Amino acid sequence: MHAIRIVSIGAIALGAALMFGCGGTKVERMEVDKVKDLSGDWNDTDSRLVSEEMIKDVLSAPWLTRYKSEGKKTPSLIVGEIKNLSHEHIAVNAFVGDIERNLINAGDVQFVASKTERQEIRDERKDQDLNAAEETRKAMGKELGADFMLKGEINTIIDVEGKTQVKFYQVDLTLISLVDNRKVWVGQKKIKKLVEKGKMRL
Amino acid sequence: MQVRLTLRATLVGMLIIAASGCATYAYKFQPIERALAAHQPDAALTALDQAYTPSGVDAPLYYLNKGMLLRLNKRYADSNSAFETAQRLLDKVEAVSVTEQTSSFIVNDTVHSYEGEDFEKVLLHIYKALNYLDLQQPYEARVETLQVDIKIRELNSGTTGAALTEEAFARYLSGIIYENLGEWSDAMIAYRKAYEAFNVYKKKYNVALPESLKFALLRLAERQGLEDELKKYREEFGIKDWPSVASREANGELVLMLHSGLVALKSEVASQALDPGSGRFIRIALPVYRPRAVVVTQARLRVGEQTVQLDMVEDVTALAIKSLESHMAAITARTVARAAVKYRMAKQAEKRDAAVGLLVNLAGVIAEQADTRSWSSLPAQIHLGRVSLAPGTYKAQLELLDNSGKLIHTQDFGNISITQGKATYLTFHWTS
Repeated sequence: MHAIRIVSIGAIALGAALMFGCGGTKVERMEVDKVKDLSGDWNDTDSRLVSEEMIKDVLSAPWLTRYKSEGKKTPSLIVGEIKNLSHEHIAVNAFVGDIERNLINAGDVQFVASKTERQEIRDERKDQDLNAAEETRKAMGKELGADFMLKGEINTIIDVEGKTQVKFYQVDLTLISLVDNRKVWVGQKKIKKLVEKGKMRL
Repeated sequence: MQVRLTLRATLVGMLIIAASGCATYAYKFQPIERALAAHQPDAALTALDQAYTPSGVDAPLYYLNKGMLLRLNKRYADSNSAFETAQRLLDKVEAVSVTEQTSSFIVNDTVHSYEGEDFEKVLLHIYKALNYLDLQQPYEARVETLQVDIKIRELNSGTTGAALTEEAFARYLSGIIYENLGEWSDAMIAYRKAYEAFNVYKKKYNVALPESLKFALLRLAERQGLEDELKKYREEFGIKDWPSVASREANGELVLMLHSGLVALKSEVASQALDPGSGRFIRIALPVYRPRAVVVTQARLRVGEQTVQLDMVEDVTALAIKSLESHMAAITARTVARAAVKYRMAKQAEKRDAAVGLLVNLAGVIAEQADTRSWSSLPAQIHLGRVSLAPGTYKAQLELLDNSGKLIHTQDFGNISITQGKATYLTFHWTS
């Protein structure tokens, strides 16, 4: 009888302790480049891997030296459409922004505002035409025309059997000359993951 | 002894009758249903928050219904957020829960997290795709069609023995999305899978192959140079002439989907029995679908000079009923086993104290409730029509008809603009 009482009090105490532990939200800050895969879907690590590979490749590829050897200054690039042909909603702008930043900072190429970005700029210029002081007014028709357009595609191949999936992502980026449509550079990054969903849970 | 038995039996009997008024999940849906029947989706949204909570084992259902109601309120981006949450929760509960299994053996089936029926899982992706189409994002909708493909493959390879082996509407919609993005081979594959699925549908659910799909199969097979397949379709459909892909290139397309009525709700069929020897009650409660009449079963689209009859592409109620049928053996076995467990528990408790035994019996019997959960805001039927039109602006009107052809309602879509090479997707929900 006594033993049962002790055990039941112990059980209640343990239950209370667990409940307090389970309640509330816990936040833990992480290093930006630390890998943590939760669901098996495309995450920030994938985005980072793609941008790192592409940046390394585009700067070391022969197109840049060939362009410079033709006696021209730094080429200007514009970001075109990056088609998401994959099976997940992927934030393409994350790694594209990363690539832009690294390329600009490296100093070898220039970027001009993309189609979606420049409408706002043009509206601002138009507004300045009407409202800004003469000396500070920025004239229309002085935009830098891009020399190359960066386009791309993300494709996936999924193999699924029961609760196991093998996911294969392929990101292809192409640099196309706006003068004569030549594809001067193609970058590719492949990522493969094995995702196993748990059969049991508490 | 006999008096005590009779008294106990009467007491328990009264309490059971009182308890059977306890609200099941389906019962609580009624205020939402009333608001939808009155075509007041905003009132339905408020009613949802009053009836259900977004946490606990029913959370996936809350978000499924919320997503659908937000869609009815034309808040497509919010609807997709709710659907994404539902998706995550459903993925999480796919794993078998140890604690839920044990407690469901002592209480009832509703302590299980709602897992979603197979057809509901596929329709979730379809409604996300439709939201993206309404947001003018066909590539995002395309992502969802790929998810449909993966989900169907998963369901067919799993060890659960899925009753749903194909989803015809999902495949057909995928084909339409691919065709309008110019992806001809993917469109052909999707249309072909839709064709095979509709053959199954005809037998299982009495949903025939849509006319628009016949023309789609003919023109895509022709374009892809699939001579044998083209011949097979020509003979089967008895169609000699059809507009080819090339002839449609200058045009755009209007794709209209009508979501008619609300899917049938589950209700409970219960029976109580008194064991005369021991005075203990046994209760068995099983879920069953109550048929619900669908008012609008046909529709006509008038756009420009053309009139097109919409084809039924999905009978959701039939899918739901078949799905429940396939689970019935397992549900019945579990329910009977649970009744036996409860009976034994009451018997054991009685050995120590008669009053405690009565309470245990009572508790077990009152808790015995059928699992009447389902995604109740789905439509009863989905109809689809496609028209190829030259680029321009048109007036479009949808006429809703009942079984006998009587006009129930005319919906005016105002001015629709058609762009060359692209599809304009219109959806209309009629929830009464």
